[in-house]
Amino acid sequence: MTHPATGLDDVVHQRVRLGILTIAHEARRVEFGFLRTTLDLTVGNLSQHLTVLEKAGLINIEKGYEGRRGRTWIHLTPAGKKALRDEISRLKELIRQVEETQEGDQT
Amino acid sequence: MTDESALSADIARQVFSTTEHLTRRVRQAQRGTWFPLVLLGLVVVAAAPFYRLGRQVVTCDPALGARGGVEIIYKGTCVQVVGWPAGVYWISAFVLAYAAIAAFYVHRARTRGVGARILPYVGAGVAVGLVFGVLSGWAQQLNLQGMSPTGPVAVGLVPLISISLALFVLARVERSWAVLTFAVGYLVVTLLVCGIGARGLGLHIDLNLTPTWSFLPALAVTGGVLLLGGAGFALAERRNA
Repeated sequence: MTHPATGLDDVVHQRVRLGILTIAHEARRVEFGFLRTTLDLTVGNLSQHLTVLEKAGLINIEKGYEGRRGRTWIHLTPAGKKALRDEISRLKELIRQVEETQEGDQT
Repeated sequence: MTDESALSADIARQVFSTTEHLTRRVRQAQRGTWFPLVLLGLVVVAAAPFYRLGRQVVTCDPALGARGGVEIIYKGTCVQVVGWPAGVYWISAFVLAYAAIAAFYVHRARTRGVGARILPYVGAGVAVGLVFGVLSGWAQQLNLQGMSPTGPVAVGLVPLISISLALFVLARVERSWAVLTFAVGYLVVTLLVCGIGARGLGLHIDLNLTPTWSFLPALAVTGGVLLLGGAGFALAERRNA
């Protein structure tokens, strides 16, 4: 869903979800535990955000085992990469527009 | 301008600041530059016996030239230089070293929970290492000895350059200016050691070594720079942890 005034995608724009996409974009893949500690979230809260992103087709969640330990890895999908790129461009555009307006008001 | 749009711009700036902070944290967790530097430093130092293996004191006539290898004639001693022992060493050492580096990064990704795109570095390291290893070991057979501006013996040291070329890929992979700076510095050192470029710019360290050991300063300097660099990056990583 897109915000009517800013054009920002609500799925991506939410602070935590944007953080998840940013981290997943930087890393080839990222583990659930790293996301949880880096974003300072509870297991339940992070799981909810991951579910939203997965349903939107922006991430893939891969569950497996390393030895006896269960591990969950998150990958960014091509749609996720595009959504993040679009979000960043829209934010930059928003800042640019406001700065131009501020300069116009001063002159 | 409405208050709402100014507020949106402030939020956007905060979002950028947060994403930059997260990006820095991921990059810090991904970096492990010290390991390839230390390992390759050891690989360079360990090459010494193989260079020595390819150098034999022979009786020769300078007018007739060498048979089966290049000759160094120094203070009356005539040394025949054969490249293949060092060539075989470099090829095997590079394959094993870059495999170990890949394993290190995979292990680190598992323990830290954040992956790194290390394949381009490992691929570049092996590919350039193999090419330069073959050049150093079989330059005579490939008729490439005349291509070195500082003489055919310097060709034997070109695998050192391959390490610095691959470091540029590592700098890109780790998105690190520090690694890029180190790669540039190390490339300059290896070029000077190999004496490529203007002849007078080469590092001519006169340690009164016999021609059978004349490669030693080159390996000590380049291996030492890698080991010191590795120690520096390890300390920096520890401080940032």
